[in-house]
This record gives sequence, C-alpha cells and structure tokens, in this order.
Amino acid sequence: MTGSPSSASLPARLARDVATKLAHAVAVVFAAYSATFFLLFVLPGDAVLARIGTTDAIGSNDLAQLDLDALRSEVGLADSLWSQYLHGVTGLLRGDLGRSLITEQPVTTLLGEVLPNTVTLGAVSLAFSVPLGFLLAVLAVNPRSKAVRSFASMVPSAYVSLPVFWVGILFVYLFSITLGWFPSSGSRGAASLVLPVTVLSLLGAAQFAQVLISSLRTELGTTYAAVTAPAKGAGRFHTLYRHCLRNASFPFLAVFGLRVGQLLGGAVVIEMVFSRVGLGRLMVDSVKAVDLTVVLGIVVVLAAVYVAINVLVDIGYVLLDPRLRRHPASATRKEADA
Amino acid sequence: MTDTITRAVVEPAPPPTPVRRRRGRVRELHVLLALVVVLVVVAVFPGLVTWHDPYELDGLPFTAPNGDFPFGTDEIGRDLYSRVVHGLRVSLFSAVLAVVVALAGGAVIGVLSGLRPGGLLDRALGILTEAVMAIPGVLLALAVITTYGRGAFVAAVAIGIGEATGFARLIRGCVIQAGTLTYVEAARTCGAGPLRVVFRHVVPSIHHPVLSYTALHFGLAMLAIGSLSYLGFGEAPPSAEWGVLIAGGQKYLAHAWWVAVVPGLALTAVVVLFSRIAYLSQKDNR
Repeated sequence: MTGSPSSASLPARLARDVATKLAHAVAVVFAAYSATFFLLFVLPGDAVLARIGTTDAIGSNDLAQLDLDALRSEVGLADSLWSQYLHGVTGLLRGDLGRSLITEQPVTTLLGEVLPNTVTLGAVSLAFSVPLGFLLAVLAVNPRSKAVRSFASMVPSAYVSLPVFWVGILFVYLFSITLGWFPSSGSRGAASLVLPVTVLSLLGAAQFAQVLISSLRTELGTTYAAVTAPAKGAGRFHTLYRHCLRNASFPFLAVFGLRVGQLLGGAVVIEMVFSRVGLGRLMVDSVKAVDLTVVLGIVVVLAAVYVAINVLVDIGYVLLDPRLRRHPASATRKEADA
Repeated sequence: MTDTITRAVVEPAPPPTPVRRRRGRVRELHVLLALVVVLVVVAVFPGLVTWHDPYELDGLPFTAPNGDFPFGTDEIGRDLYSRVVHGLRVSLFSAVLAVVVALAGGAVIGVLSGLRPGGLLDRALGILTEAVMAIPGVLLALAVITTYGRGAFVAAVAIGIGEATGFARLIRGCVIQAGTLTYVEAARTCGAGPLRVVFRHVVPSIHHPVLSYTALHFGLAMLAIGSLSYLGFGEAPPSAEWGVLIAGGQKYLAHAWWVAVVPGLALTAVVVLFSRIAYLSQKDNR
C-alpha cells in the first residue's frame, strides 16, 4: 500500500464511499420504520381493546358502555395517523421508541432487558457457523473420494430443508430427555446455551457452505486454478487453500450480511423452543397482546442491526478486495500524478 | 481489460453434459413432479388414503405406531397418520398462497424497477425492498399478524410479502439482463413500445430462473408458515396443520416422541421434494 500513487487518494475515496453507504443505510432504516408503522397503526381499534383485555373476552354489550375515545386519547391513538407518525419519527431521532401500550414501560427498557440474551445467542452461533461452513465447503470440494465429496455437499442442502424449530425439539429429545446432557430449557448459565447454539450454528454453517461450495467449484474451474496452478507444480491442496479459497470468500462475504437477518429470525423461533428469555418471547407476548409500540420497536431495532452489519460487510468488502479499489476515476488520477 | 479478453479466449469451453446424465435428471424431475401431483390429490381428498377420522378419539392415548395406527396416536387418542394427511391441505395451500403473493409482488416491483435501472423509481423501490429485507421474515409476518389477527392465510400472505423482496431482486436482474439480448434490441428498433417489449419479449425469456426460484421458495414458505403456527399464530389447535401438531407434541416428548417427530418428518420430506425440483430444473436449463 505504502508508496503506491493511489494510496493518497484512498482514504478520501473510502470516506466518501462510507458516507454514501451510511446515508443509504439511514434511508433504509427510516423506510423500514415507516413501512412497519403504517402497517401496524392503520387499524388502531384493536390496540385499545387489547388494553382493556383480550379482544375475545369483550362482548359487544360491554363495549358499548366503554368510552373508547377517551381510552384512545389516553395512549395517543386518537390523534391523526400523520401526527402519530411525526411523533414517532421525532422520538426515533432522539433514540426514544415510545412506551408499551400495555405495561407503560419504555420500549427501550424492555428491549434492553432481553437484547443481551438474544445477541449472545446470535453472536456465539455466528462465531461457530463461519468456520464450520468453511470446513463443510472444503470437505465438499477437496477430498479425492467422490463419495465423501457428494456426501459433504448434500449435508448443507439437506439441513436447510429441516424446520429449525423441529430440529430444536429433536435435540431436546436426544440430548436432554434421552441422554440428559444439557438442560432442555431456560436461559441461565452456559449449559443452557449449548443446544440452541448448536441448532442455529448448524443452520448458519449449512447456508454459508451452500454459497461457498458453489463459488469454490466455479473458482476451481477457472484457468488460474485448473491450468496455471497445476502447470507450475502446485498441488490440489495448495491450489485450493492459497488461490481459490480467498477468491471464493467474496461471494460468501456478500451473502454473509443477508444471512444475518435470517439467523436473527431463526434465533427468535429457537428462543421459543428452548423457553429462553429474549427477543422472541418479548415479540410473541407483544403480538398476542397487540402491543403495537413494542412490536414496532423490536422490528426497527432488528432492521437497524441488519443494516449496520451490512454496512460493515460492504466496507470490509472494499477493504479486502483490491479489484474494488481500482475505480476508473482513480486510474485517471494516477496518470495525472505520474 | 486485456486480462479479461485473454481469459475469455483461453478459457476452455465447459465440457458438454453427458446426454445420459441429463436424461436421468429429466426423468427424476418427471418422477418428482408426479409426486407433487399425488400430494395435491391427497391434499384435496385426504379421505382416499386414511381410514380413521382425524378429529375422532379412535384409539387409546399415546398408542405407539402399529398396523392400525401407522404413526401412533396423540395425547387424546386421535390417529396421527390421519391427522398428518389431513394437515397437508392447509400446509400445502397456504404455501401456494404465500408463493403467489411473493411472485405477484416481486414481478410488479422487479419489472418496474428493471425497466429503467438507476432511475428514480428504481432507487425508491430499491430502498423499499431493502427495508423489507432488513426485517427478518418471521418478525415481519408477526407484525402483520398483530394488525390482522392470527390464521393460516394471514400468515401465508405475510410470509409472501417478506419473500416478495427476493423475487423482486431476481426479476429486476433478469429484466435488466434480458434488455441487452439481441432480439429484444431488435424489437425495440422495430418500434415496439416499452410495455410490448416487456410483456412479449422480456417476461417470456426470464420464466425459467423465476420458476426454479419459485420451487425453492415454495419449500421455504412451508417452513416459515410452519414456524408461525408453531409459535401459535397460524391455525388454531384443533386443526391438524403440521406446525400445530409439532407444537402440541412437544409437551409429550418424554412419553411419546412420535407425536412431535412424525409431522416434522412429513414437513421435511415435502420441503426436500420441492428444493430437489428447484435444483433439477435449474440444472436442466444449462
């Protein structure tokens, strides 16, 4: 990097790229907030009923005696949709997600209680799934035995066809009921993390391996790997690890960000299977109670997490792949410098 | 620049697929499609292959699988085999609904934004697509259910909205790519309007990748709808929908593993069937 003529302009260009990406990311989070807001608040009547009790529990007779308008204005649902929206957006800018319609607690407090649990689950699963995905992909491409290769390439596509909650139940049956190795539910201690992390990291690994296998196969078929490397005497192993794996990782990186969102969604379901305290439980309870503000808050926070990870992936992509640094603009500048 | 040119020249043409292997694939594809037809017939007329009523208490609770009850019985003695077969209808047709919603939404957004890539409409739709993509599918569906209430078909439409983003991206890419095809350019030169070009020339040329993507997402939609009903937001419990069956069986795992395991196996089998069809039809195209 040092001494090359383009290095001087690299930080400036990088800063501009990052600024564009950040602006785009803010626009996406804002759009996600708006879409979810209008989806949720277009029919506000149910939220007020939910505040009194469940919708089923209330007969039409009781309903007539209640002053619904007073209740609506109490929680701010009587305002016009636009003023509610503006109120929500200004709150969002200040980092305030409003208060729960049911318990009146601030949504940020509710989220702060459960988010560490879910983030731990997601991060640990991700940390295991990346090396596992690479391992599976290499096993599906490198061994000489065709049986091993086709088996290893079958495993990921089979695993992604399994319902994730059902795999969780199978694991509970095998490892906690039959063998008694790990607790089947709860969220305290490292032992309770083992089974949910296994289910989720296998899912992540399978998805990553699918992408890696197809990109590794493409790379192995290109001239530099199929002709040049063997011609200069590189072995299969060397070709795969030193030449192909790095190039094949770029499609993986591009998919990584997309898969994180699916992993978060899977984490929500898995938390329910193992009865863990977390975002999943909060979401399910809020949906059952028609607690619109909490649902909106959870959706926005997860969308923001997803977008943030994708911005990081995009920046990492530019940093890692030298081909992306060579814009036509920089080439002309290089000539001018010379 | 020179690098890419030499590579294009030197690169050996991919060896032609052996005819026999290709023929084998086509045959497998036909067998699988026949299986789908069988599944649809069973889903519409479940009485053809079952001999117990799915809602009647025909046996003792928790009878292990045997000749009369091939999958055993559940906690109150209903025939699990009959329940699984009857549950196929809801699972299959809600997935159909989800995929139809996803395909329709994705086609409209994809074609609109692919018409003028980089234009204002394309950028606005791109941000909207990305915003919906940023919300995990299950959570988006839960948000829809918060407003419109639980139920298999609400869940299906909600999952379809989430999956429409993937279809939109795929179709946008295909439309842009198809715009550079020679016969599309020829049609444009002959004076065909943009709408005529899209509907007569572009759309027919992209149906193949879209179809195999649809088959793949059919299976994924089944999984997503299954997780929603597992969470308790799909069909209500007396129903035999597979997610409901699995959720019901989880409580009795220690006494009777089959109540939760068998419906999951059925769901897996159908999803594998569709993803295999997607894989084969994709291969067949090349």
